[in-house]
Amino acid sequence: MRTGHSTSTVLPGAHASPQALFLCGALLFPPFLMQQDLVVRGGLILVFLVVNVLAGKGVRLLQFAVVFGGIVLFNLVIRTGKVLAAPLGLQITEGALKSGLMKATAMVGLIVLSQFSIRRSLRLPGHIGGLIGRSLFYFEAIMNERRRIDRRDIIGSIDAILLSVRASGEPAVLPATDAPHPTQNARGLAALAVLVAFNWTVFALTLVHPRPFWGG
Amino acid sequence: MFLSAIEYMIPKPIPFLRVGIANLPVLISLDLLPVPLLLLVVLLKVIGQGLVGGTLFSYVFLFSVAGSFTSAFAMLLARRLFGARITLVGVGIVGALFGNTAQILLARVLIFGQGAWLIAPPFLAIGTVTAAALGTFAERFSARSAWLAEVRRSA
Repeated sequence: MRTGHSTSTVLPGAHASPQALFLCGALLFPPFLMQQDLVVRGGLILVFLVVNVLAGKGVRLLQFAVVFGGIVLFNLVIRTGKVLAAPLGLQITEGALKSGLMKATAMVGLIVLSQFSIRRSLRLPGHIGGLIGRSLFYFEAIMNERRRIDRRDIIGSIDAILLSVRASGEPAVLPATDAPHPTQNARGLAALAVLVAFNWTVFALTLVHPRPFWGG
Repeated sequence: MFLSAIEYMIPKPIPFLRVGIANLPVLISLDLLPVPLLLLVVLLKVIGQGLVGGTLFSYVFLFSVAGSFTSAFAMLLARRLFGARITLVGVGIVGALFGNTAQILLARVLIFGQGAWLIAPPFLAIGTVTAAALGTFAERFSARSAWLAEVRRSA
């Protein structure tokens, strides 16, 4: 599932720099991870999926479903608590199901959140950030040449690509870490701020008014 | 990072299950770089994978950090202990066994609970096979690569 977005519409993630999105992700993942209300956590995953789609990022629903189902299934192996059902001889116990659902939502939710907030064009500050920027420069250069890989001579063709990238040298000026993103605007940043405020508010509300595990 | 991208494109049933081809640069760098620089390569690899795959804020990143650093330390130790008596195939297998064990232990805590022991045997078996294949590739690449020879000369 992949969608585009209108440039005249302000959407979270569509009009923000990679640095702003990184900061947004850093602020979003603590309240998500600390969220103990399963229904709310599920709702937040839906929100992250929607903002991912609106930002034009691909969403692999089938992969998420397989990951989610796999984690829940493996957790059901160890039975704890009362038996809720026993389809095909597999006893589904309450404790195991709760544990599986919490771990599966954490896994899938963090992947979706991370995909929204981490962009390949992100340049981190400092010495390590500079080295990563340089590595990404080489990565892009090599990826541009990947069609030259010959299955009959994988080592030779990879070697030729590495030699040509090495011969082309480093860029005179690596992309600046603080350069403004061409499409970033105040409304784009405000949309991210609303998203962060919404998540923290929901987290605070569930702390003040905790609900039973299964909601209701 | 190029190898990380290739690895990222390979469909996986579970995101942190990796075939390990991104370890190839680390394997080749073992005899080329001093320990601090080798660990820097590992750090750049895991952060680069997190950026390219967009997984920097997820458990996948934690698995990558745990697996990559444990594997790198194990490979270094194997090289120090056995020197030239161990090939890159052996070094790769040692790295994969330790790296995958670290990931299984992490999966036990974070994701699967006791169910992690069920995936351990196939995970370790697949890791060993791919590490052997990767080690063979690394041996051949080290012997044939003009690029690597050039890097060695300038090092």
